[in-house]
Amino acid sequence: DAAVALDQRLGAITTLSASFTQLARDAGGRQIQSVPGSMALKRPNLLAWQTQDPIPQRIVSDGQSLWIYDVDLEQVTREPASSLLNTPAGLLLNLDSSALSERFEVSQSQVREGIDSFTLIPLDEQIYQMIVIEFAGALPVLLGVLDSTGQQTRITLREVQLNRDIDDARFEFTPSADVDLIDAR
Amino acid sequence: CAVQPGAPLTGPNDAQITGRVSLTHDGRRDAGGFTYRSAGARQSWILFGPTGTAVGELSSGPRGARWQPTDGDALAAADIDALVETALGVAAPLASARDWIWGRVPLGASARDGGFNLNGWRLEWLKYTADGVPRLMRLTRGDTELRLVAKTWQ
Repeated sequence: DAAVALDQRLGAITTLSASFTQLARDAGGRQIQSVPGSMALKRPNLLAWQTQDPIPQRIVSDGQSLWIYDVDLEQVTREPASSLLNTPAGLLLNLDSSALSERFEVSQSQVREGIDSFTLIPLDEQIYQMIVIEFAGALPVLLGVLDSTGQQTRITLREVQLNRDIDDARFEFTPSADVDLIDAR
Repeated sequence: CAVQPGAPLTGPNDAQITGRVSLTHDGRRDAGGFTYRSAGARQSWILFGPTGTAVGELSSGPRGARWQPTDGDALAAADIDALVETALGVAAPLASARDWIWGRVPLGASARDGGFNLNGWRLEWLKYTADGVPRLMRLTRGDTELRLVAKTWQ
């Protein structure tokens, strides 16, 4: 069934790196923001996520904390490691077979030639109304979320590399001295 | 580096400035975007959430101030500072924004090293652009901190 098929694809990913474009549309479908960036992730809970202008930001999950660095505002917010689950990329890391069938209704369809699309509807009310993950073969190429306000965020992945060796140092974050840090754990 | 320009700045009256803003209050922080417009005696602030969705528009002019949320009923008040506290539950000294956003000390404020004090608020111009326009500003009062970074000026 679809959950098993999705679990096999996600389960095969131990590391992932990609560049991306993050597109946000409001509930009316109007594009409100397009942000380029790059990301790397490593099971079970390491993430390095970076966006450029108009909103330069770095999000790093080092396994202990989730660091959110707003470059323009020169501010860092340190959140508990569990906050990783509230980020779309964090979903890719944390969807394993037990989570899938218990927490989501999963369906599968072929949207275009060679593109398999999985739709996940949370069984209990969460941050997201719907999640969409599309694959070209084994490669994830799109991650989309529809949040509770009706806003859509589509993250189109390019130059995707799976299961390459990624040094843990990439998932370390040390706020520089002059940055304003708030500890929200 | 906070290079303080020599002559006081006289920004254009009709302007649009966009940037990012964060509000830290009670140990909680929210960040988003803003578009500030001023024209004559009128000013307006469109506020955006973290992912870019418009939250609402604050506007003020000779006949008072108004908060129009993206979804929800409008609110009105005599002046924009009172309105901000009612509408957003947090105070902010926006009435004098026309001055401080351009690096000028507002009337009635007492200038003090790199900023000024006004109605219990402390404003500091932390960083400037190459041509001496404030880029990063911090407004603090009690445990509330508003931080603005201006990114485009038109």
